[in-house]
Order: sequence, then C-alpha cells, then structure tokens
Amino acid sequence: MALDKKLLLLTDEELIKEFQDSNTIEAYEILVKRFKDPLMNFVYRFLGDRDVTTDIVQDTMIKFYLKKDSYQSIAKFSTWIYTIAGNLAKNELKRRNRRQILSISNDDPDDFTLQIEDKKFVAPDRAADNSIKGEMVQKALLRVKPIYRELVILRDIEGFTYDEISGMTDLSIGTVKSRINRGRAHLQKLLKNIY
Amino acid sequence: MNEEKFTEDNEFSELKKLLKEIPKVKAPDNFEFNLMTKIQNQNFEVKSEKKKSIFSWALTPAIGFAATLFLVVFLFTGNDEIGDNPWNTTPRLIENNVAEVNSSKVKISTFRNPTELKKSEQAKSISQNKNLATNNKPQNFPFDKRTSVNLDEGMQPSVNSNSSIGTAQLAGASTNNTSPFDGFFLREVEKYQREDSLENLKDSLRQNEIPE
Repeated sequence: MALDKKLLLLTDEELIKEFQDSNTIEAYEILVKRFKDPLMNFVYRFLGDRDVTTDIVQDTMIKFYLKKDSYQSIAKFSTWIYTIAGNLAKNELKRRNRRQILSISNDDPDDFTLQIEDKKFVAPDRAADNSIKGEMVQKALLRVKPIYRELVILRDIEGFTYDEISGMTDLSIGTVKSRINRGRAHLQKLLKNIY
Repeated sequence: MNEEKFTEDNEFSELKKLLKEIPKVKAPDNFEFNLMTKIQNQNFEVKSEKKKSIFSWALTPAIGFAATLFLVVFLFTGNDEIGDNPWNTTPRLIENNVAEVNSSKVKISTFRNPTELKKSEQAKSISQNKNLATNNKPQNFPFDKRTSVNLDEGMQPSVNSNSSIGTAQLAGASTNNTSPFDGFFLREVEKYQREDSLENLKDSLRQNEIPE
C-alpha cells in the first residue's frame, strides 16, 4: 500500500522506468489508470466506434506491457503510448476500409452539412447541448481525411504541442502545422452551422 | 510568430473552442479488470499482428518466384547432365552384343597366359569406348540378303520351287558374324520319320557350307 502511494507521486517516465527495471506491476497499473481515458477519447474520435476503441486501447496496453523495453527515456511516455495507439487505430481503419464498400453519394460533404442543418432545424434548443454537439463534431471529424483528422484530434482535443505531434507521427513540424490547418479548414466547413 | 499565432487563433478560435467542449469519452468500468485478466492468462492476441505460420516465408512472392525458376531450370536443363534420355537414344542392336560375346570367346580360347588375357581385355574395353560413338549412329537393318528370304517372293510357287528350299536356313545357323537374326524365312518341315532325311540334310549342308 505504501508502495502504491509512493508510486502515485511518480511521473509517467519514472513509472515506466520502475516497470522496466523492477517489473513492478503496480507501476504498470497506475500508468494504465492514467492513460486509459485519454487514449479512449483519442481513438474514439479517430474511429467513431466505442467497442472497437475499447479493443484497440486494450491492445495498446498489452503492447505496452509486452514491449516495455522498447520505450526509451529520451521521449515522453505519453508520446510513446499515443504513437502505439495511433498506429493500431490506423491499422484498424485500413482493415475496415478494405472490408467496407462505401457508397460514392455519401462521400459528398455537402450532404453531410445538410444533414446537420436538418437536425438543427428540428431541435434548435437541443443543438446547444454538449452531447448533441459532440455527436455532430464526431460525425464531422469522421468526414475529414484520416491524415488530417489524427493531427487535429491530437492538437485540438488532446492538447499536444506541435513538437510532440511531430514526434508521434514522425512528420516535420511544418507538415504537422499545414495538415492541422487543412483539417481544421475542412472541419470548419462541415460544422459552420453549429457555431 | 506571434502574428501567425494570432491569425491562426482568430481563424479557428471558434472551432477549437467547440472541440475542447465536446464531452470526453471514458473507458468502460471493467476495462482494467479485462486487461489484467488478459495479462494473467497470457491472452495476448493483438489485433494488428498477424499470426505467422511456419511456411509463411514460402508465400513471399520473391521466394516463390525463385523456387519456380529453380524448378524450371532443373527440369529442363539438368537432365542432360544426369544421364541419357532413353527415349532419345538409339537402342544398341542385339547383333552387336552377340558378335562381341562371340569374338571374346574366340579370343579367350586363343590366350594361354592370364596376363595376356588381362591386357587384351583392357585393350578391348578401350576399343569399345572408341566404338561407342560409331555404334550409336543409326545403322542399316541387319538383314543379309544372302541369308534372308523375301517372304513375298517365297510365297510365289515358282520361286519357291527354284531356290528357297535349298537355301533356307535355321535361325542362328549362320556362321558369319553379320547377324544372328536372319529375318523371316520359310522353315523346312523336318521329316524325322524318314530314315534318309538325315542323309539329305547332311548333303545340303555340305553344299551350302561356308568356309571359316
């Protein structure tokens, strides 16, 4: 119990170090507690499916458990674990795209805007509600290209810096910034009716 | 830099505010329990990782292509080195084999000394090797006009009466080395019952005797 209290005070990097050196399962559990919700949010915003998101975050944690030694202390732990989760989410998206037969008519973003307008028109008071807003934002996010979507989520929802995103995605800062701006522009176009 | 940040903030400030406000998705209550159960049971089946079979390397296109190429090369060019194709070589005539056996028998009988015999055998094997190339060439059909009988002619009664009765021989009766197989011929009906048949045969053999 005392060990747990002591561990709770440690930073993410100190905890992973403890887990790497002493194989302390409590350190691992604390890291899981700290990152399960942010990772769930990130993966859910990227994929839009709660069950699949849960599986992917579980897989992320298992990978973290199995490959703890591949983490190097030069990077932030959050950067490392988000990279794992992001890669698994992208793989899932690719797998899903291979299986899914998308209809061309549904890909038109203008149709989607109309759909949101209709919802707003039907229930204007409810549109202000956070859950409805969240649903609309989620649908709009899924319309943005995945290469932009991931970066927008990391920057504007998860609050990472450009530098951290650059480290996670292995892209230059310039590319990160331009992609985020393109993603935002597309998202703004999709969501122009709700703010 | 500040200017850039200012414009960026102005341009998407509303959007960013909206994105910050949306409710956060949380992990299910049993998330940790399920995770730790998986870890304790060693149930590590990460979705993204494919199960690798033992023969997965064989499915690699490059390796498959190389293996196919090797097989093709081995089948179509390797046979020449392994041995002669029996379908492409001319069969050795039985006549030659018998002739060789006969000649060797004759020679053995003439050798008195065993060392002399050994030497002669070595020389013979060398000459055989030399003659292999010539033996493999297509040869004429080994029928001798002198010892063979044309069946068409033989069937005609006029010819039959003139020549064939006297000249026909038993198979293998030829003493020369031209051919042990003399082709088709009309066999004389032997008249064992008659007493003078042997006498007649003797006479005919004397007439057709070929000097050795």
